[in-house]
Amino acid sequence: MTNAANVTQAQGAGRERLLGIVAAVAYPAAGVAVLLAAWWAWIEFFVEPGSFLAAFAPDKGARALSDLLADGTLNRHIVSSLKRILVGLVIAAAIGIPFGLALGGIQTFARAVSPVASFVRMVSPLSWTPLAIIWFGVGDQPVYFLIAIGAVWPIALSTAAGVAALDQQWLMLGRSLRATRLELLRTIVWPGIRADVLTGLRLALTTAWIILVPAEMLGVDSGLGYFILDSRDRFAYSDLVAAIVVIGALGFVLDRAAHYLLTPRRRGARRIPTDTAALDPVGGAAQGTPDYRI
Amino acid sequence: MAAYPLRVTGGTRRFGPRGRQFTVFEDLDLTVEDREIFVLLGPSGCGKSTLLRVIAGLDDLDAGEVEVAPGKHGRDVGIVFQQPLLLPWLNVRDNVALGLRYRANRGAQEAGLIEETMAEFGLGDLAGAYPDELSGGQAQRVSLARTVVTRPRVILLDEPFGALDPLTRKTLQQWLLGIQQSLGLTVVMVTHDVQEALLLGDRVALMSQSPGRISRTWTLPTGERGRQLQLRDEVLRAYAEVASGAVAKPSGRSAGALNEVASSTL
Repeated sequence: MTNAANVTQAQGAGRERLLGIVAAVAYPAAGVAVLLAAWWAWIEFFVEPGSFLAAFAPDKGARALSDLLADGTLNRHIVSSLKRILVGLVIAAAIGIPFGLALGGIQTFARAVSPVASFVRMVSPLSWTPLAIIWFGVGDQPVYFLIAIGAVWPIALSTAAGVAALDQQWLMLGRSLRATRLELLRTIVWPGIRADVLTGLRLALTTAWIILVPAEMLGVDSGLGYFILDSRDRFAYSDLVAAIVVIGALGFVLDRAAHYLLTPRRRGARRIPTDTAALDPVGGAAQGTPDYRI
Repeated sequence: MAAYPLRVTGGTRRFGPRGRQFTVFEDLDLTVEDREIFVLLGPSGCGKSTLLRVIAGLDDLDAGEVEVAPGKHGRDVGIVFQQPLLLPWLNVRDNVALGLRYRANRGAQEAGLIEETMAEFGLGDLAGAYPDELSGGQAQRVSLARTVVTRPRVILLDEPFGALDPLTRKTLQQWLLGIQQSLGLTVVMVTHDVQEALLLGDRVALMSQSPGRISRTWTLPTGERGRQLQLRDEVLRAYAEVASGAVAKPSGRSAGALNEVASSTL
């Protein structure tokens, strides 16, 4: 009797696991299927055949995508887009991390800079486009600039939040062991805020990817943003659909990859920083803790 | 020539803005001898922790002087706090080794020193463990080892067992005595627990409050149980006087402190 009960229980557990797998695969698949069906139905039933919009049909987009991938046309654009993202993010991190350290660690600096920072942060990065082109000319540089100026904030603010939340007693401990400021930064501050910085980088990647496409619509001759405008100019609307699919898919993959790579696996984090906490730290830093003098 | 490992002369520390200053301790003298456990006993708020922070170089005196006998490398004072303050991203071994990563302590570094110290502190099996896997007593032992491994001339303990449960506290007190003997450490320890002071101290200095001063010092005989009990009554009476000294002031807090002392010791 107990055996029978155990067997049913085991079966129940097995079924539950199976259901879990089905749910993990089936629900997202169903979501995608519904989207594709709605897209197809819209073109099929509401768009006149032969019109411009008819070229946006999913099947035409899919064919264009496989052609573009097969002949290598898209590869060049993908590579240059990824390169711009990388360079832009590196610049954003190089500026954002030290800026965030100062913002979180030096109260007077935070007070002085917070209004200006909030102001600049609220200006859409793309507003800088004309200025960027005047300043840097055409080419990759204005794109780097636009990505960096958008991506610098999530990094700086997450870093600042991490510094402000750092246990002040750790710094006292470091000083009692006669660490210099640089040694404190290296052995206590940096490992203590690493998780926050990584969160900031992840948020920055998303921001950068969103800025990238419109930023590439000006003054460059490669990249996914350029390819969208180019497709429009060639009236190749199915190519345009293919480009949108690629942008969405790559963004999805990058976000997942960043999630995987930039989430500390063991320790490193004293707590899991929440994205909302990371998003509000200018205020948090300003009212924060006493100056700790890095 | 400094004959003593540690000496404070005319030490004065004030807090607060000019004009509304509060004197923590004033014109305070103390001398610590080689290889002794010197206990600073006093009620909460008498400034003993501030004094310890001053000696550790984490705070400055307004007047007076702290002399530390030069050790092998610079100002040789290590401090252990009430909280172990272990870095959660480092395992036990790396926490112990933290101070040795700093240039100021390079001189203390020797091959095998970390492993030796960990063995001495009974941490050998815990080398790979992380702080959140340790008990309170283990964590405090790691914290002590981290200070001792830098080979300071004087070790300061700021109520190091205050946050532990009574049983762990008792065990660690005994263990501290042993380790102090075997390593020949010079220790200055702050506590408000009379029993702990009498158990561990070679000398016990009672600190009075507002402003803080050393009001009396006892040298404790070793091994004479009866004499120690007698001394305990004497120290308790003096402690009660010091603690009730504040009753005259309108703080009204010391009656509670007195009860606390009485119940914790009797």
